[in-house]
Amino acid sequence: MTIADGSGNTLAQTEAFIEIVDIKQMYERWTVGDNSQVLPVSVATLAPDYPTNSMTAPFQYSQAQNTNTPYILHVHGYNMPTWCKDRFAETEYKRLYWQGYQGRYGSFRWPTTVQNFSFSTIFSDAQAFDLSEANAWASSKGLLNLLMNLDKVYGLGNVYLTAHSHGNVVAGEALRQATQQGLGQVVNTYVAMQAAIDSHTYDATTSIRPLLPSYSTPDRYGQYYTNGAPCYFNGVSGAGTYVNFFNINDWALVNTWELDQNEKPDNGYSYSSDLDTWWAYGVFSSTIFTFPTNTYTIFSYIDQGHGFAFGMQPNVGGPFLKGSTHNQVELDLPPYSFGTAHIYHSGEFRSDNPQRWQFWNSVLTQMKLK
Amino acid sequence: MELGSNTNEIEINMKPRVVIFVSVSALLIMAVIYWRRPVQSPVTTEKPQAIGQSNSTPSANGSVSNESLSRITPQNIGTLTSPASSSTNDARRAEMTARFVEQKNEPIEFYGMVIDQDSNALSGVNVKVTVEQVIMPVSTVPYIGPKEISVERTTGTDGRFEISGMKGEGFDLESIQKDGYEVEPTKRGFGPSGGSFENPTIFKMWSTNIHEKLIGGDKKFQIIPDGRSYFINLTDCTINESGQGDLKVWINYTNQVQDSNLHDWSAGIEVINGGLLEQVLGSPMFEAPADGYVPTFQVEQKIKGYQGGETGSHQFFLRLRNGQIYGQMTIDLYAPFNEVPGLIRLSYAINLSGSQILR
Repeated sequence: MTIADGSGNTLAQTEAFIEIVDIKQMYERWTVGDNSQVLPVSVATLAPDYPTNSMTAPFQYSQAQNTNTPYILHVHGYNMPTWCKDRFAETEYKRLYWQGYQGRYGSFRWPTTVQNFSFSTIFSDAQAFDLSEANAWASSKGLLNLLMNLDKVYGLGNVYLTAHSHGNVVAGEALRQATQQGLGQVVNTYVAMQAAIDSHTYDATTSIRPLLPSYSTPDRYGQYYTNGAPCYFNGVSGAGTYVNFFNINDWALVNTWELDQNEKPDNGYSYSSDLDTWWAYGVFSSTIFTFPTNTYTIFSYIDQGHGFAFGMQPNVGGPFLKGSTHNQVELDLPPYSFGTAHIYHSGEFRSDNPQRWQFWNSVLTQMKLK
Repeated sequence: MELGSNTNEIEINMKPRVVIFVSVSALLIMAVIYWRRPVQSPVTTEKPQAIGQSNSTPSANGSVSNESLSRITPQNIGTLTSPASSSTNDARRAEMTARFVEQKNEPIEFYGMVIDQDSNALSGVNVKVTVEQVIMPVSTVPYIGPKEISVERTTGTDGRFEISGMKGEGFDLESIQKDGYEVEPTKRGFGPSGGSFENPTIFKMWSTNIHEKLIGGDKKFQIIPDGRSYFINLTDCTINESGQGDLKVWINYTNQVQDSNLHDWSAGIEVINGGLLEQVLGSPMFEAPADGYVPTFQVEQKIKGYQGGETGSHQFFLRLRNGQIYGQMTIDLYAPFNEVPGLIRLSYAINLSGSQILR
């Protein structure tokens, strides 16, 4: 670099070496599948779709020299084609880096469905959204296995988890499975971003959404799976700290998610209160679903969420409440000021860093990495 | 030819049998479909029940009993529970969607007022908002997101503006602009109604000429969380145990942690020769008030052994050194968590001139 005056006289000169590499050579991309018509596998592998002109194999970190190296893993949300899953993850990684994050980073891909966000498609075939949810629940096993592997490599307390929208179904269930299996804490801090999951799964005492004339299914998220039982995620402790990043005006959660819940059971599914039975019906045969075996199917296609979406609900208890303090960040308030428009459902991945850095600064702060 | 003739004769003779066979088969299929047909929507036929209630009696472990399952046969599934057909479901969805949209779009009625830093009404301020509507699906016109309507207003001589005359879920405030002024940070999203003519929602703008010299920054202090007092000097942002400083801070937590037990955890802040005044997190902190301060802030909680304790971020105005200095800070106090010991996380700005302006 040369700095010269108006006459062309050199005032200062220096040189620096800059190595430019594809960002896919800088972070790990794990996948349990990207085809929504195929069930996710239970063991995540490195994604095989890498730029072959600059890479000969998927990128994977070598062993960390520092035993205190943090690793942040991101789980994407609904309606993401593969390239979009990568872009969101790369945006997160870059914005975290610009806020001072020097640790390692990975993304976890799962087979969400992809739509053009046509209302006609969503409303006439709600199962597209609900298939994504079913795949999300089913992807939790693969996520947990990956978290356990990362935990072995990076050590207790060095693995962090962020999840966006429907990705919080995957993340929440993986952390629940960790508790169920007695694995204890597999994640230091779990940051739930605009989570598309019923807040009753964590805390059945949060508000009930008004629905006329009435709900046609019982609240099995809040009472799992008999009346009076605790909520589905009761007692989870897979993460040391749970933090809820929410926006009370989140368009996707206020509209798409709520309407999808209202319109359950989906075509082909039903709930009979007479016999307290969940089932799918066909012309010649019917299938009965029961808890806990068919929980994922019942939640995805039949049972209506009675609470508001977790990602728009303040003051959720359960693991998000420590003492009398709710671990939460309200995105509709300054300095974030996320609005009511659809873009803000994924605002942290969109717009530009000068307008969004406060979000990522807060993520690192909540993780105590800054 | 004979063979052909015979073949034709056989075909002719077979036709009535084929017709009868096909007809009987069709009738059988229709009968089965009719027998298995969905009768009515569960919404309209099921007995009304309270939310979360069930008429069946689950077993102790919550699973449906064998007795209940044995009663579910192809016959009574079709008649007792009456699943909705696809067309019925579509009609139900269409109705629910229409109702949903109607409920979401409320009349927009918002009254706002723009004032300057001295609370004088500001006229000629340009206000831009985007009203968000939810619209019905149109099968031939896919679209992304809700319908967005741009609205622009200019404040009158009394500083007021009004957004009304349309329906929507709410609106996003895009900008508030006037030459020579900058708007105080505010939230972006608003519901369909807000304020009233008599009591409008206030937006404050500051003259761009008003800037004070502030000192401050972001700082983390690791401390021993055994209840001992630490003193923070905000003019040079240092911490000590000698008793000299503007803030006295302490965190108290047991060093005998047991995973399954509840433990007392507490933390506190005391302003020496001054006070603090808590604000809602995210509030603009451009001007400290003259009074309303209290000397201390304290949190006492019980947390489980494996949990980390945290006060959460709290935002305060500060009155220091008997009113000679005003400032603002956001502070968070932590108990031990993994490898992190007691921790003070502090972000602050103070004005040494004695002015209450903090921008």
